[in-house]
Order: sequence, then C-alpha cells, then structure tokens
Amino acid sequence: MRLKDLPHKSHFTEGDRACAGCMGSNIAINVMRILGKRTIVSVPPSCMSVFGGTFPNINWDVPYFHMQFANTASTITGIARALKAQGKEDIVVLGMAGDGATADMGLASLSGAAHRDEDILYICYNNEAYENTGIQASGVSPIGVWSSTTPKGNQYAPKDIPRILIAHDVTYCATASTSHIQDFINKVEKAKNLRGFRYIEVLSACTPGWKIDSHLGPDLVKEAVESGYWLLIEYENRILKMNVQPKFTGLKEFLSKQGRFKDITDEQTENLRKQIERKYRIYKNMENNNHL
Amino acid sequence: MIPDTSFTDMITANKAVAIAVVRAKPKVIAAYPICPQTEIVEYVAEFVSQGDLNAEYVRVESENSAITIVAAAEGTGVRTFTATASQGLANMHEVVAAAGGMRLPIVMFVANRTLMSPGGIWPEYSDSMPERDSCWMQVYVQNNQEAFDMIIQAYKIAEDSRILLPIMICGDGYTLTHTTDTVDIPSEKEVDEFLPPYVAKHAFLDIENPIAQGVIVPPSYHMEAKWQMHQAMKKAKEVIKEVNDDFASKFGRDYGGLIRQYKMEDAEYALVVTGSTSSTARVVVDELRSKGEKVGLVILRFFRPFPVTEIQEALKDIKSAGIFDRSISYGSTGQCFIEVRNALYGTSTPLINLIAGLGGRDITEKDISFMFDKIKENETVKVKEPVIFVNTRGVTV
Repeated sequence: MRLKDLPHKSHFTEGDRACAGCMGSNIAINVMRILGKRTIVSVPPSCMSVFGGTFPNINWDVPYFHMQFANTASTITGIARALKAQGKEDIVVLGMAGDGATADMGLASLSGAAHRDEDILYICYNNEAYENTGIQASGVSPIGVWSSTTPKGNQYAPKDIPRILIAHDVTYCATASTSHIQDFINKVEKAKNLRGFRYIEVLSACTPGWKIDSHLGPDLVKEAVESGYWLLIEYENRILKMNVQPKFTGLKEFLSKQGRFKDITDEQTENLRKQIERKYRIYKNMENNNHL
Repeated sequence: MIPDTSFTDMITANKAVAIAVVRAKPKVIAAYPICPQTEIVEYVAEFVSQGDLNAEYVRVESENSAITIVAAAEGTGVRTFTATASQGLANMHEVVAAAGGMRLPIVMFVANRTLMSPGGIWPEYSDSMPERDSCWMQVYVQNNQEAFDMIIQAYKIAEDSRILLPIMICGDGYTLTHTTDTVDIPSEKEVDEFLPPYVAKHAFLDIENPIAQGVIVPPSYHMEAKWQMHQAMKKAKEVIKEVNDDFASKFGRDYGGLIRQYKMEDAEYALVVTGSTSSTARVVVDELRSKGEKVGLVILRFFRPFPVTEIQEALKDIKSAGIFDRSISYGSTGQCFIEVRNALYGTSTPLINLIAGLGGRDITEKDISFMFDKIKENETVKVKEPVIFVNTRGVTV
C-alpha cells in the first residue's frame, strides 16, 4: 500500500482523549487504517487504555479486550487460539502495548508467545517511560534521561526488545517510526498478512513525558532515526535488514529539544552516544552475517 | 484411548479430572505444571495428542499466562479449562479477579495446597480461600468421583445464562489428587446429553458485532456492574441446586447441592466440614452413633456462593456445633467459621472453630473424635477463645 492509498477512515475512531501531540494515538489511528475491520485488539493498562478505552467511550471500532499489565501477549494468544478452534480465519489479533508493559512486566508472556510462534501481531508503542503513571523510567528508557524515578538521569542502558525477540527466531520483527511513513505502512501491512508471531516496535513521542511542545513529536522521531538514536530494522525469514542508514549527526540537537534531557551530563551524553553506536554495530554485524 | 462408553476404573482425582475434561470437550486448554496438579496437565496433553480430545493445548510460561489464555479464549466464546494450585493460584490472582468481573464461565481445578510461608506442597485451603472475594464460585469436593462429577456439573452451572461466572473445583492435594479410588465414568453420549457443546450467547469477541470487554469503568458506572456480579453470585444458588438435581436424576449421584448432610435428622451436635476430611468424619460419626451419641455432619460443599439459609436450616436444632477449617485468617478465625457464624447471627448456638490439617498434617479419626468432644464440652463451658488448633505442639486445649 502506498501512502496515497492509505484510507482516511481508521478503525481507531476520532475523538480519543489523548494529550495534544500524542504519538501513541497517532500510531493507533494509522495502524487501524491499515489493519481494518477484521481485527480484534487487546490493550493493557496504559495511556491508550485510558484515552481510547474508558467506558462508555471506546475508540476501537473492532472487538476490544482490556486485560492486565503483564499478559498482553498471552491475552491475544488466548483470542487467537479460540478463533482457530472456531475455524475463524484471516482475523488479525492485535496487541497494542506500551514499553513498560512490553519490556518489563510483560516480557515473560511476550517471550512465551514468541517461543510458540503464536499467530499474533504485537505492536509496542515505545515512548520510553511509564508515562501513564506520571513519567517513571522503564526498562527501555534511554541513558541519562530524567524521569520522576530517575531525578539525576537514568544510569541503565535500555533493553533491546527486538534483539531479544530475534533471539527467539520469530516470524517477523521490526522497528518503525511514523516519520518514515512508507516504511511504517510496509511493515504493518506485511505483518498483517503474515501468519505466526509478529512484533513491531514504534517510537512514540510523548509531549508531557519528553517535555516538548505538542507540535514537535513528528520532527523528533524523524531526527531520532537520522541521528541513529532509533534504528529502523526488519527481521524476516531469519534475515535481518537495516531499512535506513543513520547519518549519525544531530544527536545533541535531538536531545537539546527535549526537556527530559535538560540536565543530562556530558558523561551521560557520551555513554548514550556509545550505547547507540554499539547497538548499530551489533545490528550491522547481524545484517552482514545473514548468510551464517 | 479413553473409551467413549461408560466404564469404571481405580484412578486418582487428577486422572478423574483429566477424563472429565475429555468428556466436557473444552476448545482451549492452557497448561502449566505445579504440584499437586501437574498430572492433570500431563494426562490432558496425552489425551489431546492421542486424539481423545480436539482442543488447542497451550503450554504456557506461567500460571498468569495460563489463566489469561483461558480468560481471553472464553471471552472469544469457547469453552476452556485449566488447573493450578497454591503459588500458581496466587500467581494468577489479578487475572482470576478480572475473569470474575468479566463474567467469563471458566472452569478451573484447584488441587489445594498450602501457600507459603512456611513452604510446603501438602493440602491446605490457604490457596483458594483468598480467592473467595474474586467473584468465582467455589466447590470443595470430598472424593475422586465427586471431582469428576463436579467438573461436568461446573460447566453447566458456570455457562448458565443466568449466571456466567467462573468456578473453581477445589480438591485436597495428594489426599485426592494422588490417591486412587473407584470412579464411574459415564459414556460420552450421556455426558453430551447432559452438557451440550457451549454456544456463547452473551458478550464475546466477534468482528461482526464489536464489543469491548474488561474496560475501565469510571465511578459513575462502576457500582451497577459490581451489583450485577453480586446478584449473579446469589442467583447461582438456585442454578447449582437445579444442576445437582438434573445430574442426580441422570447419573444417580446426588450431592445435595450447596451442602450435604450426614446423620443430621436427630443430631444434637454437628461438625461443619469440607473436602476429603468429610470422609474421615463420616467414619467417626458412625462410630459415635454406635455408642448412642447423636452426632452429625454438615458437609460444606460450596463456599461461594455461601449457603446461608441451608446452614441456618441444618443447624437450627443443634445444641452445639463446631466448624472445621483447613486455613485461617490470622488473628481472626478460619474462613468457614467466619461465614457460618455470620449465617447464625442472632442465634444462641454455641460455636467453636477447629483448625486442623494445616500444611497437610494428617487429620485422623482421633482428631475428629477430639473435635466432637470439644463441641459437646462447649455446650456448657462457653469458651472465650473460639479457635482451637487441633493436634498442634505447644497448644493446650
């Protein structure tokens, strides 16, 4: 599907109660433009479960199942297995979870579903913190970032969830950014049509969490890709591909536009830069050694 | 292969439950091992692999996922099954509570085992009792035949459109799960007639008719949902009795519904008892009766919904009663005692709480005789402390 063919109508309907400039809402709208009506979705506790799933205002124009924080992958597994038992085919069973639910508490159930190659599509909208509870660092928060539980900057490197899932030899695993919208469409559409375990992690700017003006999200996620902060990768048929070659410029400018990095030290910035470059080399090595 | 005809076998409760699952035909089963339930998921794996049962068998990575998968599958409109015990049930807790409120008619077997600390793998009700407020029905079975029969009845009760609540069938770990006993297995046809395939009529995930389940409900709507849960649990009493009577007429085994009474017609002293201990207690009642003592048993089968009026009726002419508990709410009393005393509020019947068998300690005939001695003694000597730890070192009674 080309961008010009992307339908305006989304099965995540207008009028959600997300913050101005929320990219989580934007991702949900675009995902549901591509997936369409034959979708069943589950969302764990998250901003999205509040702004799109508080009774009686449910924005999901498809069957919607709200479950707990640790078990999104298992929830959609249960739905997918029940559909299989009923002989209902060609329905996409989607899990739409934040990074806290995915990388921390939900990691065991995600691993279980990946291991069994369950027929599910799991999309993580990664805004790099527990934003719904008021900006606490998660397992994928960047080095040096402020959060209400890392007042002097996060000391830990983020977990690399796609790499963990690639270690499971999953059917499909990708990262995406709505700034690179055609790449995003290609990946969601591909994942829609594949069968087996599919995972897409999308960088999602959060205006209060990143401490940015509400118009800045789309620019920032673009700069994230160009600076190498956010890598666009795709793993399919046991082949890893890097979709966009980062320029490795503009990292400092990218950080300086966000209030969450206001107090980052030079040492933390350096550690962040090294971690980003190491991650790039790891993926580059994987891409170069695909023949192995 | 499991024969589709009726047969009788010497089997453990675990095997009886697994065969009942074959007869009940759930479509999605989630399995995770934990003693003393493990054999159930082993047997079911074997039965699915050899074609006795056509179901999705999901070998998960935790109990939290096991209950999640059956909840989500049930929410998609299919019959499900899982089993657990002790720490496994505790690991499930948040989803157990969610499933109750979502009105998902899940059937789960709980092989009762102590919840640490102290650690242990032996029977106690400290695993299932904390789930009494999770909006699940709970039935405690006495023997392996009842374990089989209640799996079959449980689906019929839970899936009734007047109820739509999950149910846990609780059976004593090891005492039942690992001990063989004679079990009559009805034919596939007989069970099919009693328990037809499940057709979800209420809310379930269907792309042609999108609904939302388990959503966030603000204070302005919340109390109505909780009130409906309460009403459904109360209504379940009627359905449990109906299903019991229907089962009794078809299969010849009548469990009395919510409670079962033993030699209570002219009894002066009664013991309220649950689970496999009821079997030992029956032997003791027979012995005491042969000596002319007017004693009887009230076997508490269902703990949720709690049979308030049945207990009131059963104990109305009793001079003194004791309530057995195989778990305790520390600093208070055993959970059955709390409920029975609550049911008898306003009466003057002397009541004592007999705590026994914690962590799997044997409950012998001698212990039961001791319980009746205390019940009789309490008629005149009103004890200040209603809780008696039976057969416990350092405790003088």
